[in-house]
Amino acid sequence: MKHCLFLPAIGFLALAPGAAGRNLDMPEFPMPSFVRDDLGGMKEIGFLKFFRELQKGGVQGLDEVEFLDTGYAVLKSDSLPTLAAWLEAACSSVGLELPLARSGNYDGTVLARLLEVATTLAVVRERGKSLAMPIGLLICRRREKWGDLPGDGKRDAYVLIETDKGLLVYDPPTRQLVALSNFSNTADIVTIQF
Amino acid sequence: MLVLALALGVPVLGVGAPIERIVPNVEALSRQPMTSLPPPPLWASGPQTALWTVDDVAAEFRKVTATPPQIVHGSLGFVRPDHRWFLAYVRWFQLLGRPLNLHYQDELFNCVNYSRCFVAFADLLAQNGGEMRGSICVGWATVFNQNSFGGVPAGGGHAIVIAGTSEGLFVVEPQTGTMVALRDYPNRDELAEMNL
Repeated sequence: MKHCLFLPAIGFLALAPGAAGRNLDMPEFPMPSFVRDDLGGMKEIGFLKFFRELQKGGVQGLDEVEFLDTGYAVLKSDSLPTLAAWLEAACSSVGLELPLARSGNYDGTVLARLLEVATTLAVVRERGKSLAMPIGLLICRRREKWGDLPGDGKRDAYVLIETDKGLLVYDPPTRQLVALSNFSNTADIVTIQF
Repeated sequence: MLVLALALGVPVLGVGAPIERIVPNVEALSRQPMTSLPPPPLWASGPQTALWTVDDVAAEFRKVTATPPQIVHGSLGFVRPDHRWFLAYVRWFQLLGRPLNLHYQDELFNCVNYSRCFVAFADLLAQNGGEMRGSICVGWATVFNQNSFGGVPAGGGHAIVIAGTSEGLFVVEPQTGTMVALRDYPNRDELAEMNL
């Protein structure tokens, strides 16, 4: 999953921990497209509406659902290919090839967090309206198979995104995408966090 | 679901239930410029670095507080950064304010976002440094801010960073770069949850 070039590795060894190296270059943070309200502003969804969406998606136990903000934007689903491209490029820029990520010590939490942070930074850069990004984290046990992912009972983490097509579950390494209501492991969700 | 797949330009693959996949829009990304950030500290993965399980992290909390936070985690083990690297990283993160236009904004970029951003870049730098053993032991936490810390006044809920380094658990206020050992953090008994 990780490709280390030999020469840079030698360079690392020659420097003390914490010594600065080269600039960190990564793709420009991705600006998603947003669902608009009747007045052309960014449509806002409150956390209570979010709760109802989760219930509609089959999430029964809401004790493990956390909202850290009160107002969220809603993404247009047609911007997901751009977000996915950014995530893959950003990972590649630090040596992680996403399609191969599960061959190593994969932690989907890191990617969900990175995507949420990146889109937030894009909006901050554009001085956009102050709404939280509706990109969250879903941790569950994989008791049921989902596409390439086996039903082996292991803990796994995915990205959960509120869009104009409802809540979607996205697995970055496999690029799999499914509506929460059709997600095979809804009954084994450990945590949902926005 | 087929409608969704078509709308996203996603091929339907497999036998039985259709599996939808996002097709990354690489072309759109190629039109974007690159973001260049100041030279980060080089990840240190030497003998000072060790793996901690979630149970190890919980045990460290119990050494300094009778009310340890719940730990939310996606994986079971975490790599502790070298302490000197982490100190350098805390300083580096403060340099991102200008290039990333970081400033506090309700909802969009508040204490939670600061903390998540801090953690996300730490993960990236470890990956960039060749760390393959897993995600690192740097997480964000929610706390009732009973006492002021790091320039943030007392009162209300707050989010901070907690890191397990080669020298133990430390708390960082990411908005100011203030850092103390967990045992010296004035709100260590008020932590609600740590997210690794």
